[in-house]
Amino acid sequence: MTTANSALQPVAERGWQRGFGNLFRNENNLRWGRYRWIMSALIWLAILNGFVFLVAFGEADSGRSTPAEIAAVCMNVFMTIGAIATAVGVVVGVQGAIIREKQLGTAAWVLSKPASRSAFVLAKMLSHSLAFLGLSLLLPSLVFYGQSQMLWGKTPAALPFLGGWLVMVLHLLFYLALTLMLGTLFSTRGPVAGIGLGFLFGGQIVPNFAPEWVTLIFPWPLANLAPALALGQEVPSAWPIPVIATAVWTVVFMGVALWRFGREEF
Amino acid sequence: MQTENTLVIQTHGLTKIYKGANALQNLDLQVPQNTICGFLGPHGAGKSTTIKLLLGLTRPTKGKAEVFGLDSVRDSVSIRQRVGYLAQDPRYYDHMTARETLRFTAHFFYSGPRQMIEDRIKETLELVGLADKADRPIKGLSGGERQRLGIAQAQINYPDLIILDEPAASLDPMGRRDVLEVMERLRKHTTIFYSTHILDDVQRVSDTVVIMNHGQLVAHAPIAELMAGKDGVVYSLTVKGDGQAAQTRLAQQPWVTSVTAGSSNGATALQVSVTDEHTAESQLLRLVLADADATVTEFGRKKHNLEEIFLDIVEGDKANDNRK
Repeated sequence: MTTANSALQPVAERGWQRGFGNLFRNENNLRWGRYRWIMSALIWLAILNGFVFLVAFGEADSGRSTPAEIAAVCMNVFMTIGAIATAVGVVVGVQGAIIREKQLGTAAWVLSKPASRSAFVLAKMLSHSLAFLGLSLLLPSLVFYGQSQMLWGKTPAALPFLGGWLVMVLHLLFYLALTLMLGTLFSTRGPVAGIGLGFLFGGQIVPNFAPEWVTLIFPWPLANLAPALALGQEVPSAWPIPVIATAVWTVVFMGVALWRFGREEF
Repeated sequence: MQTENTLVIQTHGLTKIYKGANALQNLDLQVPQNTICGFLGPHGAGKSTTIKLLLGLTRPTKGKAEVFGLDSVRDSVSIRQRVGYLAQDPRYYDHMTARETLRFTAHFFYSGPRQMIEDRIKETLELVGLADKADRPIKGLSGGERQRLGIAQAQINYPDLIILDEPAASLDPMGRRDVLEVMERLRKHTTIFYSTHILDDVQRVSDTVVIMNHGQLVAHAPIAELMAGKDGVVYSLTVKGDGQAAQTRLAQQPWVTSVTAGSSNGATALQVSVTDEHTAESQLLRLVLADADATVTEFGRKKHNLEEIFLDIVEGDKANDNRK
């Protein structure tokens, strides 16, 4: 056995990285293989850019707004709906990522091989991040640029748009980390989807009765901050607080997910 | 470098408590290198829990387990590098084919060369008889084919230890035979630790047997020793004529520990437990036949079967529990 074995090169990954490359490739095959990504891309384009078209034509038909005003409304719609819709997409699409594998027994099978538990969670995080960023944010944003040129003969200013786009990215990563963490804490999908979506839509209600600081330490203001930044509008002076807090929450959630999954009993 | 007597698996007071229930209690287990160890016990005896503890899939409440001298909690990944494992109800990714499953498994161990990995996959598929179904999605495979795929993925890395949890449970007789043949072939290169409830299989291939009940180890011995029975060497005779006289005469011998008798159809069946096998072989029959009225119609060393021994041990354990 040793002789036959010696000709094969052993995997060089060590520690938490052990198995990461293999798991990441497998996750990517699920997201990008066999034309699945085309279906995802078409859905996101229909939701985000299709909505922009509807708003643009609706505004133009009303005859009340100038092209510049319509462009601003469309940017607002694109960024706000984009932030909310991608968060919903993340919660719905990722709710079973860990739970399904725990329930089916594939997680136990994979972890009976030399793969670290951290690699298992991080491979999912990175693969889902790339898929959502690419298909639900980057591609629709590029198309939005094309739409702007086509509809109003002018593209949005690059730097402000990038600022707003990065806020949307942070918003998405927060819900991705939250969903993965909930997947390590619960054994059924119900609480994962319920808490994830409840938190997202709770953000529409909480500011009505909670002190301002409560709103600021969560990602709720980001859906409004993104279009404001992209349009170069004046933003509240406290805007760095939700950005920093969301980044911290994202890291904390991933830390909790890694810690909890490291103690999972199969 | 490991020697012939090296212990591949060693546990010390290994205990697992799930929500207040003792799944495993103070297990002290030793499995030497290059042996096939059958791990027996009724459902809920703690077999799968022990296997999961060895692989680091779950953590001990108390005690410790070592595989290749490595700690099952601290060095779990290093242990799994050298182990092949087949779960009781193996689950794989349904979107993959058998070949893709083996490729995915192989890449946890090897990074290249690509062609050698593909050759290894092909060789393994042929070994388990799945070469012609290698590119079908797993969801189309039968239970037996999935089990064979399980064995294939468990030994893709040329493991030093193969752990199989009920490998033949869902197989038809031919499938079982194939699995046992694969195990026989692998024993030259590796240690096999497998749980099963099919006692015939254990009797056929195992070197040592471990019997668990209610989370506790109740027997751990080489198969030959266990098959000899707990009463030591026993001879059985069927005597026609004066069976009572034969029983009395035998009971007086210093190398005889007990004689039990039962009558049916005018013959007496004697079970003679002895301490000295050689003396018994040369003297026992002569002593009975010394009585001119006695005729021996059957004589031989009593052969226990594993099922009998297993039931005896497990039910004896249950009776002890009831007395407590």
